Amino acid sequence: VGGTSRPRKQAAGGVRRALMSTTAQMSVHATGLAPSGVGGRSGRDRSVFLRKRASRRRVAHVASCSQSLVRSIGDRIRKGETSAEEVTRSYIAAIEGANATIGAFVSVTADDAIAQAKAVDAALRAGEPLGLLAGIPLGVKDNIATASGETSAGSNILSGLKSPYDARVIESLKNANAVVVGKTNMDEFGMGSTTESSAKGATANPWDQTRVPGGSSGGSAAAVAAAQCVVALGSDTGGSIRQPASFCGVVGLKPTYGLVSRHGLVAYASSFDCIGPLASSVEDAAIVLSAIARGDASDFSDATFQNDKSSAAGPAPRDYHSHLKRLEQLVSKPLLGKKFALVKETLGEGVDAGVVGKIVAAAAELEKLGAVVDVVSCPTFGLGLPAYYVLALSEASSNLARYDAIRYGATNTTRSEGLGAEVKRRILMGTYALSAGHSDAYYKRAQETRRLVEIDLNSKLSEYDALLTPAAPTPAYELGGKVNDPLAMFSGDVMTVNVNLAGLPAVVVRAGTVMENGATLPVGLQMVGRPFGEAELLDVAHTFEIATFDAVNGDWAFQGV
Amino acid sequence: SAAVDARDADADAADEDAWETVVGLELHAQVAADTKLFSGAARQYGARVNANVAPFDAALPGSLPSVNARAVELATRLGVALGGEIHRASRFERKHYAYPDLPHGYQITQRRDPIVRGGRIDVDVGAGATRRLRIEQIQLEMDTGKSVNKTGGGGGGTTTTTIDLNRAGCALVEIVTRPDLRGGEEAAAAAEAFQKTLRFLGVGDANMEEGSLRVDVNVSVRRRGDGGDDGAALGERCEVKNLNSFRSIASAVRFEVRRHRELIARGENVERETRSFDPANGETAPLRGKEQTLDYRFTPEPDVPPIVLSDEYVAAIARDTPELPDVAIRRLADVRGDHALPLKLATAVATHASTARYYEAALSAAKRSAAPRDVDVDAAAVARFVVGELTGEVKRASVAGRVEPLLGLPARLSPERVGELLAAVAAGETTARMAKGALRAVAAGDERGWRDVVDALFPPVGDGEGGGEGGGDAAVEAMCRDIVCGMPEEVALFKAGKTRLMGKFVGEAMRRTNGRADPKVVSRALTRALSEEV
Repeated sequence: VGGTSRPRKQAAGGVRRALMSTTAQMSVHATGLAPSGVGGRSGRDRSVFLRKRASRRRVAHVASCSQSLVRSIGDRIRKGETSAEEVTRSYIAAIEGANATIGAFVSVTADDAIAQAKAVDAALRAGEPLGLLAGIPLGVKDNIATASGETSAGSNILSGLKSPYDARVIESLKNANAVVVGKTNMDEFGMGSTTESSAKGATANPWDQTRVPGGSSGGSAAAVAAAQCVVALGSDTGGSIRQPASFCGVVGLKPTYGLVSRHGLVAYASSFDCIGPLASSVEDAAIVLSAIARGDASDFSDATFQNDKSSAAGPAPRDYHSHLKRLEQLVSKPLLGKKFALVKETLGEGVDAGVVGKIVAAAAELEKLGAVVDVVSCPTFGLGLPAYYVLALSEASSNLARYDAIRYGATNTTRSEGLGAEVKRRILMGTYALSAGHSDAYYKRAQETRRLVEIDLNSKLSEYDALLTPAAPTPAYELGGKVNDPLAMFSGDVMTVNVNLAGLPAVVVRAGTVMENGATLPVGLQMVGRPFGEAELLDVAHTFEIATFDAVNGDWAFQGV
Repeated sequence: SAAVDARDADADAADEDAWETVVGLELHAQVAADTKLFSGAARQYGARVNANVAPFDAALPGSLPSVNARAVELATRLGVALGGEIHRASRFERKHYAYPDLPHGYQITQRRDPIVRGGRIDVDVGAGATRRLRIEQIQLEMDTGKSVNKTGGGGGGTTTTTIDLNRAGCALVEIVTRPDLRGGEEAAAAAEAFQKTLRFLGVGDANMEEGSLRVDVNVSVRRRGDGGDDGAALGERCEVKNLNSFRSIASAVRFEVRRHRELIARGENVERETRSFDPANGETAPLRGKEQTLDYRFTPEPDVPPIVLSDEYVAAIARDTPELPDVAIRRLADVRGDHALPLKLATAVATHASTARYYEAALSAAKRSAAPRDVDVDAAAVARFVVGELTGEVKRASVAGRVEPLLGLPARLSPERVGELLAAVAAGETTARMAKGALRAVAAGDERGWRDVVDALFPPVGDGEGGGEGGGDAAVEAMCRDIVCGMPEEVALFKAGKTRLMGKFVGEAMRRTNGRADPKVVSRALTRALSEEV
């Protein structure tokens, strides 16, 4: 370890050359956009339905749009064209209709949701100026505490657990008048990349029900993709927001460690865990982030105790969405002056050729938008995965020590029965790594490696505005495909864990789709930003998204409603 | 127990010869913050079972710790007072072990980067000697809950354990000392010294019966002359845990010393062990041996950031930290110092930090007030007035603090005002008797200035007449002669040996002066007048 070699660069032209073979298959839409050319799209609802194809495995519809669904639905509520209650009822109906096949939700708190929606309608009738999220149906990952319904983190051992409090993010979103419709499925305690390790059963990918939605926030990603809620909260410890976002073709944001309060998040690996949004557009993710990104005296993820409450309260609330431009406001070459690093190691061996093609094509799109894209080597890239697993599992073994089946949740069971196989495997591995005689070889070295990765990525980010990688080495794979091969499952996290080691923010946006065994599957592009640089990162991601929407959707074979 | 004591005495005597006892302490003291170390739940002894439990204290999923600033402040104060180094960045760790009253499955503590390192306490070991006990470190950590075991009931001898989490998560300071103590009595005295210090500083109640002070001792023996404090020269040690009285500390150490020496005498080795102590029979018993050493799997606590303290913060705490009583006594009694109080008086002044502060403030106020009059103020007189008259009167008037009598007195009893009064006494403008009377009135609520209070209680008699302060010494002499002339029968009896009648003459003088005369001056003048009377 400890490579000090300078990153190898390839000139931007190299990216283009590399692209020559792949761009042809994309219906690349002209960039350098003229406002007149796109004016007609602004009023259109971006909920689009997947065209029925020959395959019987595909779900009925997938929500996807390049402009804010939150705004369009919220505007209609505020104008009185519909009501929050009506919107909430229709989404709950959508959950009820599709949950038997998709299984995105593990519980629906319909009565509370409708009561919340009615309160929004009453407030609007009373002339209160409510915000963007008022009346917007929200799905919440099952490891985020809600005072309403259960919070079981996908585990039998917490089955029946009623949290006495709302997580800080839930308080924030309720204050913004978002409507919590229910809890979404997840790998048990967030330990998995497929949502198959949930005690509540697997969730299917809405694009192809024989495939996994990714994980561990698979329920949230599938729920947004299948239009069962408008936005959802997930949590990301090693990629658990970004990989399912990629598998389900939605936007997923993992904020900088510490930007969003972890208060109320069932801990997996505390020094990595982040709560973040999954949404159908970058703008929607940004709107949710604006609501949940704030300091919190009961969460010291970032803040340092300075014997002063105000400095311990963390970063001040910030607006991450208002500055985002609409398509018609985009100038020619909107990303002029931006520099991105396409990480060389993420496009090599073990990465699906179709995925590589989409990422390289996305890089070419960014160049067309005015940005400079260099292919850059991150020598620490390969070190991250083992270091991540040692540290995350060590922390997990500590955090899960409390689940002894005598305190809360299921108390009529034992740990051996109440915890699933994957969870027990990780607790044992983590305990081993921390044990006397082993902790120097594993835990300590992994900590040192974490530091190296952090230094490496931050040094790249001092030169580049963002790092570009695939969000996952493959598109969504078949259900059951990796359940019995934990190492293969671990290696699927290779694209995302380094970002968690360094605590950086990263957003996943759609880069197109690939065909696999007759199924059309989305591919996500991961953009990694600077610490607390969410505003800039989301701006770039949003620009990319709206400018390439037609290109990407032509490729996806969607048709508008 | 007489036999036990005799045996102890034998052991101690034998100890004098060839063997030396080496003892170090680990003390756990609950920090007197209103709330727990990481949650907002109240810290309260004797509350209803599980009444003070926040989600974090029960380790509810998703709950997070948040550091109690007051606990950090009190730990810093303790470190400052004991002369330790306050770490500008201390870190929390998790110490893992499974126990029903430890809901998280780990204790949050500071083993590697404690808030305080170093320091010392001087332990009174009798006969005016002190032993300096060095402190290794002081760390902040959270307490566990309480397991309550109930045996039987249903017959078959089953035990039911119930858990009370009121104590879970309360802030503790763990004080780890070096092995500087040389016997059971010293160990008990050291624990007592820590108890006094913790209470004096307001860091904790340090009540051993209530468990807010718990003591573990590490005991070993070595041949005298093996010397040195490095571990190589020490014998194998045993730890006796959870001693809950000073007597138990002394007995446990004595028992261990005997046991170790018997083992060595038999040619056996002392095994490193953790032991418990039974106060009923004064014996220790093994809890777990070296091979059963728990692997605590220490890891950094990711939910609590390092405690970073600025120089200004530590300096401010140092300013507010009272001098420890032993340090204060030495300073106040130093014959070459500014105070040079008799030892007993210095001890009385230093009992409470607030009393010592009050005395020093009153003394400097008195000096300021007396300076223009070119009068010296006697420190001992001020000290006597503060610990005697003042403390008595504020208690009598029920304006005294609950624990520290001179803490939080009303403004009319400020050290500045009392200093003025004492300056007037030093200048001879007010007698001690008048000062005491005025103090009582002011303590009881009189808000007027001293002069008004004094004049109201002791109305001035006309200038020059009968000994009032305007008349000077000549007036006093005249008044006394007049008294002697007016009481010929008493004078005759006095001269016949009934000297108690002096009180009657003084009383008459005080009556005539409305109490304003100085009884001492009067009595001297009367003596002269009586000797003149032939």
